Amino acid sequence: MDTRAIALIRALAVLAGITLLAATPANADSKAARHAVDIRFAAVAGSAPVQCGKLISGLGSTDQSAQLADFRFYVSQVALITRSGRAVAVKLRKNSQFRYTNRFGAVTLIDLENGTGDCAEEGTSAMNADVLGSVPAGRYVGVQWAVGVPPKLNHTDIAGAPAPLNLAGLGWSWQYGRKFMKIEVTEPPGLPVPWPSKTFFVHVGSNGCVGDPAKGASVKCALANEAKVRMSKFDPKRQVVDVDLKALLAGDDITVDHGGAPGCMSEETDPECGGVFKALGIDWHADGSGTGKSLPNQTVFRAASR
Amino acid sequence: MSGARGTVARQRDGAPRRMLRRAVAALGVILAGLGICQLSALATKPRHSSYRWHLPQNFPMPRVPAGNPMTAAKADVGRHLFYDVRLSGNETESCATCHQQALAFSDGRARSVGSTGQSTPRGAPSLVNVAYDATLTWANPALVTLETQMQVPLFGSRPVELGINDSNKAEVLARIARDPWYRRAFRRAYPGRRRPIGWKTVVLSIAAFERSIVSADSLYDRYLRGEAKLSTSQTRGMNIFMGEKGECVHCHGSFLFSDQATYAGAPDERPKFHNDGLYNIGGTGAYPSDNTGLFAITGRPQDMGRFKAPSLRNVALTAPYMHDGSIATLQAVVAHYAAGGSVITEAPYAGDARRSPYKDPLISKIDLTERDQADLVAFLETLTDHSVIKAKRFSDPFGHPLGATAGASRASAVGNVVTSTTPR
Repeated sequence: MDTRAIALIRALAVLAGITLLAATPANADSKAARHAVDIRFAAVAGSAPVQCGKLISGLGSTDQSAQLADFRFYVSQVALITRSGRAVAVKLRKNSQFRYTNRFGAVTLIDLENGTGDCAEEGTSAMNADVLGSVPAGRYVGVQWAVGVPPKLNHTDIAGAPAPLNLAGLGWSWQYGRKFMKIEVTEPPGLPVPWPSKTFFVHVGSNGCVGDPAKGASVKCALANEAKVRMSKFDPKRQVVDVDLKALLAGDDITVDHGGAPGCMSEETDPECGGVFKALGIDWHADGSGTGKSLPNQTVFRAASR
Repeated sequence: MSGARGTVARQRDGAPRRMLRRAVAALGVILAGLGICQLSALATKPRHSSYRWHLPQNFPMPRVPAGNPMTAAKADVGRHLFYDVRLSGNETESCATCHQQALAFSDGRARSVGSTGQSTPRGAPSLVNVAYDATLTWANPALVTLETQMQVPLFGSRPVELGINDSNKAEVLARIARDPWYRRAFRRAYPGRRRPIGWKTVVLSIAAFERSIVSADSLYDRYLRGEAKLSTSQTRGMNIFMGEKGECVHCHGSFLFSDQATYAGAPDERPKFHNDGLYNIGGTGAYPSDNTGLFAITGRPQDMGRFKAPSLRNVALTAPYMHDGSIATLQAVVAHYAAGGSVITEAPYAGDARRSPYKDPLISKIDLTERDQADLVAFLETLTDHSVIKAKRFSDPFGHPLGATAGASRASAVGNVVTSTTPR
């Protein structure tokens, strides 16, 4: 073998080394090594798609038909899961109307209402079904996320906040935060007997919050009320996440209000929160002793084929 | 910066190298200081040092959030916004609709009425000396600054108050931005900002105005300063109020006559809330489900019916009383506390609240004769500050007739009650 051949082999070896290095986690942030991720959500009732202005049937414990009035929720802490069960954070694409990242965390607003029909009152015409971001190249088999907003992004003024944290409709001003989930159904037109309670509100947000008068607006909440969802098998390319209104409302008669706010607005003892929080997998007890922690048995989100 | 330079000048060490090193370090400090000054000048321009508080002599310095230093220019913008009906979705209400100067910035209603006719579950509290409140509204430990509290009336939808929402918020802001007076005034108040008119600066300005409403010039204050005398009845009332007989000061102490007063350098105390013996529905201790007080936030049984003890300054102007306006007169409030709670005989709230399991132990039966009660009322009436309700610097700059904004008259005709504890 002549010296030129040896030099060539050496050069190739060095190149191969560089390539290997590039694929190791140390360089995982470099653009070439990241893969795009698109986790798509779809609003459904059972298996039927749900949209504003279209009658939805089979809702609640008394099998009611209803109209959608809102269908939005914030998603954070999104990660893909490797075969060994390790969670690898999804880095969101650049900030937009529906995405925001800063040093305190990242959040995506999933907006499955289009501001028409009964969604017109507080809804918006723009929609967003996807968490868009990237992960280091690798093999992933599942996904996880939380329905919520990181605390330091959550407890901020709506006025002047960056999108999508600037929506008045998603303000949870009484706890100086955001509604993590705002899903509402209302009675359909032309009923012979109107519902005793016209709209069933599902407003999920942190509760039991206390500010520190000495530090101004710093707020800590006893009850996080974040639903943490983990799907150990999920392929974002072939599957979507169905968000099932039927499952969310299965535990409640959506036409009546037995106390507290109509529907469930995360109050510790609101009777309608029992069904809603069970479906979301958040610890809640009628006597107010719930911890607001996430449990591993939610029924609202499930994988379906794209 | 002058401090840093002064430090250098005072060095007694003569070694030239150390001196050089120190000089370089000091220069660094000076430059860094300049940088910080410039940065903060860009953010707010630190005119707050020149803000002149009109503090009564026994009042401490209010606590002001770092992000919103006081300036006269800002408070003036806030005063205009406070009285401006363009700041509601349908241009019928302003902050002043529910916070009228003549009523010590309350509105005389049991429950206030928002711009679209919905009722709030509770009455509008007075804003006089609100700068000193550790928490805002009737029972909410989460709301500790005026800036954060303001998100509720501006953007809240249950109930709608000023009715600003995602479909009209750009238009509402544009109404303000179209007005040449505001364009000039915001530029003056926020000189470093590229776009001085925005929701953030609207909120900062109104908060600064509210914070500026500090006043204590009642007969009682003049009595404290030795400038006036109290009548026999007022003096007897004061002694009952302050003494072991009435023990009113437990919850209505401090310079504010409340127990949630905070100020610059105040000790870090947990804000207190009390069950005031108003309800005991069916003997369970329950309050009406739309108004359970601190319980709605914490869900802890012992927090049922706990509310803030409000400041009693100007209390003669802020009827009706209690969080839900359920007691019409001061005489009746005094009778309620003398009895150690209320007894309700009619559905749906029937129950003997004197025996509520959650009633604050400080609220017990007090042996007060009719004369004692009348004297207590006479004392409470000495807490009215007639200067704050007339002060021009807190008054309506648009000259609306007092308490008769378009919104107030219009909204009262609608009146649809929303039964939610808190706006969500």
